[in-house]
Amino acid sequence: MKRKLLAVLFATTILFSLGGCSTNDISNEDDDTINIALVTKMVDSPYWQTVKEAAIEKAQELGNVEITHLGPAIESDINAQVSIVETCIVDEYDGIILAACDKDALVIPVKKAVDTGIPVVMIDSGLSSPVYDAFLSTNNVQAGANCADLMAELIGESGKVGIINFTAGTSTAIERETGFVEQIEKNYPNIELVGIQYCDSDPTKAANQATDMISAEPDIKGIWGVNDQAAIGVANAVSTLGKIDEISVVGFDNSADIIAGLEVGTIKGTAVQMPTVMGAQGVQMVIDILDGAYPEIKEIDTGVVMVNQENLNDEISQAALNQ
Amino acid sequence: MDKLKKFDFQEILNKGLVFGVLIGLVILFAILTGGKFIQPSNLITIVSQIVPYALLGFGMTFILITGGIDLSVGSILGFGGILCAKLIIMGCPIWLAILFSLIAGAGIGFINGYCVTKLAVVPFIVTLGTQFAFRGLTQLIGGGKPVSIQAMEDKNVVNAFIWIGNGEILGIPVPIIIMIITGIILGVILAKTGYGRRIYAVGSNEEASRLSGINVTRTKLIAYTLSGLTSTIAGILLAAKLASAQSNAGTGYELEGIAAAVIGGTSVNGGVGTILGTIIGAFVMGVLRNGLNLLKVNAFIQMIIIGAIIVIGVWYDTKRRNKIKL
Amino acid sequence: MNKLLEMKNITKIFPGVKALDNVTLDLNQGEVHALCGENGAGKSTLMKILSGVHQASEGTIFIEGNQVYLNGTKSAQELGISIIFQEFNLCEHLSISDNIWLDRQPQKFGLINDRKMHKMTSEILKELGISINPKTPVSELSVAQQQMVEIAKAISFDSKILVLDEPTAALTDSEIDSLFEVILKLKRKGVGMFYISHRLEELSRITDRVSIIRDGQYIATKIFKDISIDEIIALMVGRSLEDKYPKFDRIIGETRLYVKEIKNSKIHIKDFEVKSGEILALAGLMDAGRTEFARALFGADSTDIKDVILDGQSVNFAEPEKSIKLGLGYITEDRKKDGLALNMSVEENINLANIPNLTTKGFVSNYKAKENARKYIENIHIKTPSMYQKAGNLSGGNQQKIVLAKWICNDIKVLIFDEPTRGIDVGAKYEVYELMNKLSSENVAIIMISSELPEVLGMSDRILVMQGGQIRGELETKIATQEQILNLAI
Repeated sequence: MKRKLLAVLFATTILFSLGGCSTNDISNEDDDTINIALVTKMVDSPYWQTVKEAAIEKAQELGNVEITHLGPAIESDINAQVSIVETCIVDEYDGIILAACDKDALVIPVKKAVDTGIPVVMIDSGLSSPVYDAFLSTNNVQAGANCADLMAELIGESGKVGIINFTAGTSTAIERETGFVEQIEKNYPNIELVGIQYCDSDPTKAANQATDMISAEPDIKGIWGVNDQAAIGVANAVSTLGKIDEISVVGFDNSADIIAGLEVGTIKGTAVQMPTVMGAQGVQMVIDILDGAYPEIKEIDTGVVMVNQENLNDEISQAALNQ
Repeated sequence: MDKLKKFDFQEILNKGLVFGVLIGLVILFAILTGGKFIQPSNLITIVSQIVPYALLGFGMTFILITGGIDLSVGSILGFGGILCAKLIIMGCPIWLAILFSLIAGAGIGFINGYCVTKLAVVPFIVTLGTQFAFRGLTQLIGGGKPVSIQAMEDKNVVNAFIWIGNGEILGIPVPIIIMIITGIILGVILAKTGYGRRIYAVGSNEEASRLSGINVTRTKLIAYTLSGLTSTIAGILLAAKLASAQSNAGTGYELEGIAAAVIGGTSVNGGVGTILGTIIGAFVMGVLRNGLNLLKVNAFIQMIIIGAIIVIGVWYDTKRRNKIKL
Repeated sequence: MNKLLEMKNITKIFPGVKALDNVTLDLNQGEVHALCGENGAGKSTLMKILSGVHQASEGTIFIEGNQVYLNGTKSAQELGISIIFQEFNLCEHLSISDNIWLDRQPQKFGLINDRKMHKMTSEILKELGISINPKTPVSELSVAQQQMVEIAKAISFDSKILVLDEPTAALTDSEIDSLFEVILKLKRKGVGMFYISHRLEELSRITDRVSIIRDGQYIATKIFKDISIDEIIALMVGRSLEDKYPKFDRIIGETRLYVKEIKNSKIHIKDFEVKSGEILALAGLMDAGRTEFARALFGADSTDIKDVILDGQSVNFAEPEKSIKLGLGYITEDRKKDGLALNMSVEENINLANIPNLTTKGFVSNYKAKENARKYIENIHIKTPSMYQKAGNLSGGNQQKIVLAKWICNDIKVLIFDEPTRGIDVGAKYEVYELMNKLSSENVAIIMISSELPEVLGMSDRILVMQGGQIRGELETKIATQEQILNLAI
């Protein structure tokens, strides 16, 4: 009995370490291989998985490039990400592609990496100080405004609208929220913003918050879920309450669940970022910088595609959704 | 002999106080929201919202009574949900997937119990470690991604699974019914069975219990196994609610479970606690969160208020304990 | 002689209970004044009033002729009153010095002046005739040494009045000797001491006067030399006990338990037997290995060799759970630590080892549980307001009866009884002895571990003396003397 259990424990441990090995080690001492660390806000999210796949695809296309995907377990664990970047410097990676969990906390480690001679290309979420070599991102303020336009269109430019954001304090969350709020205030005087909640990227919490929001404002016309988990939660709340027709849910990003939501109508529209562009272009940019070719402008917008129920099956939308 | 149940009376009074706080909150919110709060639909919403926390709290109550703690329940929740969803995606019938996940979840709780009893490592450390390990296991199973049932081809399976998380029987949501049934079963086990008595005895004085012939190891193992089981039930319900299992589901929920138990009068020093108390504790948390949302209280101020409530709960518990010692 | 302290007409009322009723007591300079009374008589309450823990409901206190008001332990300390409870108030991980000067360490530039503090401590310890390094953490000290630290702390406050509550309960004989030397030293310095102890025999060595309290009332104060121990006991219990040990003719039968060999790192016992209806005493010093033997036999500790025969059958007492099923019971030495679940009710404690008998299909029958508890509360006179009272709220004697009830209701064949009357009062002792006799009349074999030689001689049929984890000799109780036992024990 005792033996068997210990064996199970042992096997589990081995499994973990093997899993760890395959992704974490800079395994070979082969000098020709260019090792690039892809450090994202968390590893578990379809969005980051897409970025990773695009990066790996690009790496295979280039031949001698190897991608290692790293990141903290949860997005709010800023310290973990700082130490991951520091470890990358120690491990002498040839380049780092980084999506920052916090725009201030990552400045020092990134500067350290750049000073050490490791090119750092930021993707998705940037830093408060431009110490990096390049920044590929969705212009989140613009994307937030686009979402506001879509929402306004869906609800006929008047009524109450709520926001379920993901993590308070992250730059992406702040920028998207700012873009949305400013666009509403500037162009849609008949739309009233009735509340902002933060769900920590937990769909269950998002669902609870949306339900409460609807209870508080029964005549609410639309809710915006600021990332995929938030959107899934909001969509669930709205469909549980049977208010799919009364309340328009707009999301952000895409995933199997979001696409399913668009198909059945629990989600009316979403802003799809171009993670494949970020992933692939990120790798290309690291290689270019290693060759001495620095970009002229550090900030590069990769854009979003706004997908709604009507254009769902268009070529552009499908390309964006199926990245 | 004086047959007045002085001790029982005091217990009722103590529970009554927390219950009184709950009623007070309900009345307060009912007035402040102009009745919105006590509409039946909102009340059902509140109960639905506390389901996962209450389920974690049930298992936690057992473990806290033995004098232990389980920090890994959130990870077990994630594990249970993702395993169940993965099995369904792979074509396993829903009932079998659920059964298998429950067994696996109980097994994973058993591992916690094994480390605490046979390897004699402090529960806090064991479950801190397994919190990471089980979360890793969860990510491994899900491949770092959510497992979406929603996107499955066979809509019959999708709808059946969604029903578990969102369906209703006689107007009552299924998860609430499952929570109530689980609560009743566990409550009866704790209050009425020999096992229940043993668990209180072990928490009150482990050595005295052992020397009185109580199998301390088995008693604790069962407690941790039950906690694994209730956490898995919560995980499956959450996955079914969203028709998609998130591999980060339940992150941080162990604190909700502990808070529900502690507010409900369970002592972190062991020997004291009830399932009814934990349900009331979960309600206090749920009512607060929902009520503050309805009042559109700033999200950050809500965190401060809930944090304060937890501290007050423990303070009250300690004060009560000291009084009894005198 | 100078009167140091007078407590006049002290009454203390707790909600529903009159704990002290018009008690008057005084204490002279350089005197050891013993306080005797059964548990619950009010001695501790009286001393808690003196040390400021409780406030008297009525009555006045004078120190050196001046009326004082004790409204907290701090004010009592400032007036030179220190109390040393049975359970010490020491911080285990801090050094002796830190404990003594806790929160009033000598300082220099706002930092603690360790050198000065250790020097001050050394002086006090020297005064007491103890040589321990003041930097030693308290956790590394023996119980006796920890007690000395408590006394040193009292001296550091310049205490004129010292209360010692059961100071010898956990000490070995040689440790008691050195404690008494310290007490005599303090006496010469003029410190007045109240001394509470259940070991009446030891009082003769230090006591000047003795006061007796019963049921919260003052009974008498006598010059110790003029009164016999039996007279003190008679005053304490309010009736004269013909004998401390009830007379009973035990009928000894066949061998019930035979230990061919049992061995672990601490003990090695061979050819040990106890018969039906017999009370076998295990005598020896504190570290002779008697409790270790009991725990090993019971399955509470692991063993390397264990060959045991019960009623002619070879049995395996592997775990307490198993031993109990086979009919072996064990009443531990330390009730509070490993005998009772203090914050559970009397009923739950009585039924603690009895859960399997109360359950059908896993469910506990509340009716059976209550009936069982009621039966024992009545039969063996457990004094409790109700069966729902927490065990921790009862007196030592009643707690011991609960523990006994726990085993009696379990249909046992052999009972190990470790220090059956430690820390319980004379009246309750007598009742415990009667219960032991009753059990032996029901053919239970009793193994009694006791450090009180009069008890060993008064209650047993046969005595085994242990030393160094082994049995050193066997004595027939009828013809044994204290000297013979001691000779074998050392």
